Amino acid sequence: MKRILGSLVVVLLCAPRAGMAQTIRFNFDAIGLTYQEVREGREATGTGGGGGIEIRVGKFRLDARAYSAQLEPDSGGTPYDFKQIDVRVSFAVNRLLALEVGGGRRYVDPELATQEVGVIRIGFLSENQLNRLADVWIRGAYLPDPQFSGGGSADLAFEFQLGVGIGTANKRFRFHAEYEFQRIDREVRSNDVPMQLSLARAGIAFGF
Amino acid sequence: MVRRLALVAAFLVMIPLRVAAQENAALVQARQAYEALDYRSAIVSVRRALGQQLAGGELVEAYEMLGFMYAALDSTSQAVEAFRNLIILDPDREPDALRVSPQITSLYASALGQVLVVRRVGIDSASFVAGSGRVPLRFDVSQPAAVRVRAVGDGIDVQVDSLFVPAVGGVFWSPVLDDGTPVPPGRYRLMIEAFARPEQYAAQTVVEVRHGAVDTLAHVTSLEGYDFLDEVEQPGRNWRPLGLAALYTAVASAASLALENSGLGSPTREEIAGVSGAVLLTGFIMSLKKPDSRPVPANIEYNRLLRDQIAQRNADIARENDVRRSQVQMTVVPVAGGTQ
Repeated sequence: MKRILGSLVVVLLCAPRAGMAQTIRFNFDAIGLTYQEVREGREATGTGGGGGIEIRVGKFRLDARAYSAQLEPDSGGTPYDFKQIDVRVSFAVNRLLALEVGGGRRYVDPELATQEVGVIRIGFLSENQLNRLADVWIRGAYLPDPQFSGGGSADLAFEFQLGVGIGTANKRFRFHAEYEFQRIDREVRSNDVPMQLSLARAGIAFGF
Repeated sequence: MVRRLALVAAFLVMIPLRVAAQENAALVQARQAYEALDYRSAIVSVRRALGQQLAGGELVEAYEMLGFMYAALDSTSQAVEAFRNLIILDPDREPDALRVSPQITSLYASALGQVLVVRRVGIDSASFVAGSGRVPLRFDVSQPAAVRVRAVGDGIDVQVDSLFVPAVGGVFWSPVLDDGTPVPPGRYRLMIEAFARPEQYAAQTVVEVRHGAVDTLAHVTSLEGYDFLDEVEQPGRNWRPLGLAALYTAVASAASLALENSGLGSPTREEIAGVSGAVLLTGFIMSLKKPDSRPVPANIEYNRLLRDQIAQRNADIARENDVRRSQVQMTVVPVAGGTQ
């Protein structure tokens, strides 16, 4: 996975043709999230931090992000570390819409505190400039055949995001806030064991 | 005929003496008698003066006085004879119709019809590019005559034109040689020769030809009547940013609420509430802010076309200037006192 990501970054950095706009932006985020699973009342909340990189070359855009949070079950169980890595590559079809593919991996420590999940995603990104300083975006994706550390499958799995960014006109400095929702209807031997994630992210970004 | 030519020759030869020589005493007496209206004494004095050597101007004055006095004494044929001599000597000197009697002007006109002279030779200053301009030369002939005009300069003698002139004539001189090159700078005599058998007459005017560089054209930065337009415009304040923020927020919130898994109970929704608030606040602030300038495609296209036109015009000017740098600006100026 790391090898693939590295190759993709190198290609995006080295391949731009003359005249292509190129932007690299580094993000630093604070996050707060709520994670629900299995049944009503089994919920964990926590905060953490993360970061990422965003590279735009012509109509292509690469987003790679990671975050880590410590979740504390509301029911009073043992807190655990919750880490997520997401990669998205999009291609702008027009000024407002881009098609997006990617993957993600969730790690949990201790290992059996909750499910570790691996996904691939196919979706869209719609970004719209409010003016020169600010923009809003939504993105949605279907997660076909997610993989779980405890086995099982999910017929329905999707995610979407709402975000807003505001910064300087030259795009070098930017604040952003983002909401992310993910629902995975996992089944294990015909038993429903769903999971749902709500995440808020706020941070700053530095672009070049 | 021979006598007239002799008169003209004498007049031309004596011009330089006009200033230097002392005034003829007989002519002075004639003038005094003329002013005292003692025409008979004056005529005797003039005749005596004419038998002596007179300067050119004195000769003219003598014949003029003689003509006036004979006209006053009703000696028609003698008056006409005097005027004919006067006309031959100085064709442009004619009685002032406001000051002399009609009889005198009538006799002068009669005398004019009996001789062939070229009068009222006129030429104006002109400046033009060699080969593309001409100098107009005007003249009158006292009788219908065949006229030939030549330009004579240092080693150059070219015919300008030949034509039949009934009374008032004119030709145009293009000061170039047969091969099209401009005549060298210097002084040129434009000789006007009139022929009406058995008489002939020649007059001339002297012009100076100068060479110079042709003015080049300045390049243009604008076209008259066409101004560049603003390529951006400042739109008025609007609520589009807030509208967009609200739209995106509504879509995300609706999706979040609709797609929540009810089996997991009701979530806190703090995350969606916080981010939605940030989105709406950003939209609201951006709506209050002065909108960005936006380009005006029509004006941009107009300016592009205008710039193309100016570039085209400057290219034409550059080509024209290349041609002009190889041309000669000719200035033809009449020389004072050069008309005889």
